[in-house]
Amino acid sequence: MGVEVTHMSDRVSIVLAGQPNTGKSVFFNRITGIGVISSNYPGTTVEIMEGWTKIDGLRVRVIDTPGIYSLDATSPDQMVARRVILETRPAVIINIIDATHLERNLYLTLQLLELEVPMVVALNMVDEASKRGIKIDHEKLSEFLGVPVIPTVATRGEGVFKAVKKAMELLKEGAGVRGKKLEYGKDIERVISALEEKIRREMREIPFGISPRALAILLLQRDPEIVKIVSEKHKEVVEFAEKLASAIESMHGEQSSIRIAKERYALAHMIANSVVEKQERRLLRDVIDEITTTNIYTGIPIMMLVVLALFSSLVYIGGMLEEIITTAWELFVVANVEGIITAYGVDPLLRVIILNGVLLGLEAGLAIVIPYIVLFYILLSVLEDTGYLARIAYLLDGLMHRLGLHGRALIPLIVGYGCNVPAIVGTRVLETRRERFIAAFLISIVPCSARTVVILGIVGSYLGIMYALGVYAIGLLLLVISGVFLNRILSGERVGLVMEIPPYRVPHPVTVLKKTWIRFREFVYIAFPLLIIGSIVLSLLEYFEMLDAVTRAMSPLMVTVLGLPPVTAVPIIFGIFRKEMVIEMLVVLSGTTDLSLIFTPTQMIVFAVVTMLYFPCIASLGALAKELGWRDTILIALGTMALAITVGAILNVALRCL
Amino acid sequence: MMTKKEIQCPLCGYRFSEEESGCARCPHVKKCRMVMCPNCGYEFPNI
Repeated sequence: MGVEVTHMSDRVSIVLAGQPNTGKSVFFNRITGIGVISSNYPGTTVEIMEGWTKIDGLRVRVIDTPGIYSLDATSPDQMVARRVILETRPAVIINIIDATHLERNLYLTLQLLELEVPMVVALNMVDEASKRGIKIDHEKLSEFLGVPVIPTVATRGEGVFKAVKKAMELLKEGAGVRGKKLEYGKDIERVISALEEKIRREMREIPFGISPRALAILLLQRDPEIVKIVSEKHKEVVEFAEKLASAIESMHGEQSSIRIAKERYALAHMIANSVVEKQERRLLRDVIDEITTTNIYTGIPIMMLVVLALFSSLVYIGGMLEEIITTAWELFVVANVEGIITAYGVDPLLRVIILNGVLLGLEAGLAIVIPYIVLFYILLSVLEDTGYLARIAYLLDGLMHRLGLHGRALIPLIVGYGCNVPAIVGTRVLETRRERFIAAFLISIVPCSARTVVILGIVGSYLGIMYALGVYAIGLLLLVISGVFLNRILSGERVGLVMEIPPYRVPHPVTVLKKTWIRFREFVYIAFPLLIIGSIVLSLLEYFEMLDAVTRAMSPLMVTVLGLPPVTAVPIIFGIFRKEMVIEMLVVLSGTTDLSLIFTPTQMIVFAVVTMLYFPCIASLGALAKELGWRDTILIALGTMALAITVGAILNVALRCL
Repeated sequence: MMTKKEIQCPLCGYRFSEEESGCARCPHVKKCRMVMCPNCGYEFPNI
C-alpha cells in the first residue's frame, strides 16, 4: 500500500480506537466539538479526524482512527489505524467498545493491550445494553484487563469526559501504566517467551518502541509490515520467529496467525462470560436470528426454502409477464407493422430488417429478457435490504468451510450471481494470487443474471421450476467441485473474511425500486441497444445466407457431441458478446418466441447448462485480462469451454438414457 | 464539522465511506451510481 512513515508531533494526544459502529465518531464529536480537521493519512486515501479539547486547562489533541475489527494489517484502514496508534507514542488510547457486543469488541481490545500503550476502555452504549438485559460488571472487566473501564453513553455525553480525564491521569502517571498481560495457551506462551528472549538479546531498538512481547506476537503472526521492518536489520530474529511459527503449525495443524487469533477469541469469550452479570434478554429479533442464521440445522433448510420461493416467483411471475407482453406485442405492434409493410410494398431486405431484426429482437428483449431481469433485481434488492443476503453469505460460508473453501473464496459465488464483471474486478480485494485465480475461475462459471434469463427463459419457462433449479444445482455442484479442486492444487495462503451481519429490517419499497432502477438502467443503456443491433446483424446474415458455413463448421460439436439442433451454433457465438443474446438470437433465427418448437426437453437442459458454463462474455474477458493478465484469462476461458463441452456431452448421453 | 456518509455493504456488513470504495480504478466511476465494497468486492447501488 505504500504507507509513508511520518512522525506525528509529541504534543499531548489521545487516540480513539474501536471497531466500526461503536459510537466512536459521536464520542469524538462530544470531546472536540467544532474545529475538526479531516485529512487523508499520508500516502493513503484513508481519512483520519483530528480535533482539540481542554482538560484541566491543558490543550489536548484528539485523533480519531478508522473503525477497524482488528489490528492485523490486511486493509488500508487497519494499517492506518495501527500506524496512528504506534506513531503517536507516548499516547493514551481510548478504546471505545460496544457494550451490546462485548465479546466481539474485546478482540481488538486484547490486541491493543498487547501493544502495551496506556489505555482507557470506554464501555459505550451501556443504555442500549441495559435495555437488552445485558449488565456488565465494568469493575471486574477493569480487573481482567488491568486498565480503567468507564461506562459511557456517547449520544448523551454520559461518561465521555470522565473517560478523557482518566486518560489524562494515565498520562500524568507515566509510561508505567500498562494493561495486564493476558496469557495464551501454554504452547503459545512458551513460543512467545522464547522469541521474546531472543528479541531482548539481539535487538537494541524495537520498531515503534513496542514491547518485546508485542513484537514477538506480531512476528509469530507473520505480520508483513513488522516482518519487513525487522528483516532489514535482524534477519536472524525473523528466521527464528519463522521456525517457531512452523512449530505452532505442526503442533496445532493450522497457521500460527489463525491459532493465535483463535486463542485471542477464546480469551475474549472467557472475559465476556465472566463480566456479563445477567444474560441477554432475548428479543423477538434475536429468536428469529437464531432460527434463520445461527442455528445451521434450521438456517440452511430455511435458506433453501427462501431461494426456492424466490426462483419460483421468478419463473411464475416472469413467465406470466412474458406471455402478456408477447401477446400484446404481437397483437398491437407486429400485426400493425406487418399490415403497413404489406400495404406499402416495402423492399424485401428492409422487411427482413424490420420484422426479423428490429421487431423480433425487441419482442425477445421486452418479453423474455426484461421481465426476468427486472424481477431478479427487485428480489436481489429485497434480499439486500432485509439483511437476508448477508445471512445467506454467512450460512454458505459455514458450508464452504466444511468443503475446504474459506471466507473470501465464497464471496465471488454470491457476487457473480448479479454480474460477473464487478465480481471479477472485486477479486482485487483478495490477498493472494492463488485466491484471485480461484475466485476469477469460479466467477466465470457462476450463472449471472444474464445466464439466469437463459435458464429461466428456456428451462424454467417450458419445463418448470424444478428443472431450472436442477440446472442451477448442476452449476452449484460444479462450482463447489472446481473450488475445492483449485483450492487444493494451487499453492498460497488462505485468507479469511470479516463479516458483520446487519439486523433484520423491513425493506422500503421506494429504496427497492430505486436500487432496481439503478441496476436496470445499466441494462437499458448498454445491453438493450446491443441486443437490437445484434438482431439486425443476424437477420441480415441470415438473409444473405452467410450463416450456413458457421452452422456447418460447428455441427460436429453442437449436433454430434452435444446433441443440439444445428441452429444453436450461431446464438452460442453471439452469446460471447452478451449472454442474453443467446436467447435473443435463438428467437430471431427460429422466427418464433416459442422455443419448444426447436428444442426437445433434453436439448433445453443441455443448451442451458452449456450456456451457463461456456466462455466468459466479452466484458468479463476484459475484466479478467485487466485483473489477472492474458495468460490466466486464456487459461480460464479454455477451462470453462472444456468444462461446458464435457458436462454438456455427459448430460446429453445421460438424459437420453433416462 | 466534517461528516462522512457511511455505507454498509449488504453482503458482508462492512461499513465504509464513498472514498474508501473499491471504485477508484473503474473508468465509469464518475457517472456510475453503483459502489463496490472494499472488503468483499460486492457491487450495489449507492442510494
